[in-house]
Amino acid sequence: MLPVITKSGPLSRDDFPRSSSRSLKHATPGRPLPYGVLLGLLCAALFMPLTAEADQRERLLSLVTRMESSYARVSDYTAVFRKQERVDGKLLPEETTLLKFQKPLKVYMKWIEDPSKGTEALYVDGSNGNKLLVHRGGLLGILTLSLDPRGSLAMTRNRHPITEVGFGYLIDGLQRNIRRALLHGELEVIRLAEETFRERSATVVEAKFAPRAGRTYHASRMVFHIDTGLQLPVGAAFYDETDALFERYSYSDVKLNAGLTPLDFSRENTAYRF
Amino acid sequence: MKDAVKRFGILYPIAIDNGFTIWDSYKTRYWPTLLLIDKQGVVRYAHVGEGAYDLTEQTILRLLVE
Repeated sequence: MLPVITKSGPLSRDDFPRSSSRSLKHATPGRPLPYGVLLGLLCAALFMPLTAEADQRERLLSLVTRMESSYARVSDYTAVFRKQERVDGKLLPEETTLLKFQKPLKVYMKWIEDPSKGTEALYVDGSNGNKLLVHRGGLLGILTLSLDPRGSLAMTRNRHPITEVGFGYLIDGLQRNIRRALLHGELEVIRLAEETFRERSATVVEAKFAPRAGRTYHASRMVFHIDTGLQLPVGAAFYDETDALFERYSYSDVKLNAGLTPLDFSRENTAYRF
Repeated sequence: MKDAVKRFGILYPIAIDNGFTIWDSYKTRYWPTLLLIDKQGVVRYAHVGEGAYDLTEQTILRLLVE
């Protein structure tokens, strides 16, 4: 417990005896504290924020490491994946998809809510000529498109190609930005706390980047949630220098190591419409 | 279609395949599918999906001089 300074009013030079050899145990109620004690308190007050900052930094690095090791144990997963992105200056409506992912890079997505409900996308690295197969939902779903995953058609209304969907890319982006910013003292952690995210326990991290010397980061501010049970980033939102949202992603109903088979990533799957 | 032809300044003939006759005849499965047919009416080149533009261009030039 911290000692109580009993003198009322501002401290004057007379309140600091020349001898600083008296320790705290000699301080008695009703008497001013010795100089040494006050100096100690001052130092504690000065260094406490630094210690807290260092603690937060260690905690953040530990979270990043845990995300990486958790993801290293994953071979495939299914999830409901939501995304909202700003494209050409316009914040587009949120899209909700059923996502199937298998390492190293097999992706199947089915849009399960309007306005793109019924649309399917399949990308299997090394198969289908490395093309993204897309079958639109509704009346537009007459043809299956075979697109360059990074081409202009595939990138319409997207900030990222399908090759960048999933936990792996997100974790990699977070760790690279965080580690680099911490190395250069360019990251300010605003919030690091436990809270509920989509009805599950999570750790929330809110941080601001303050780049110098020409360095750039993915965002000016980011908020991400790490699911406590999964130790994976189930939510991430990124804001630009005007603090406008430009990307928001979330994962729910996550099933890790779901035992997905080649049929889950085959255009011949009769449950699909490719 | 007329508007698009005008907008892009397209001068070559364009076939309209609303009934999927051509699509089905060539057993096309994906869009885009590119087929190059020579002067004898033989399919000499096929590419499914976007991309391979350089290879397509080279093949057109080669077929033109045959």
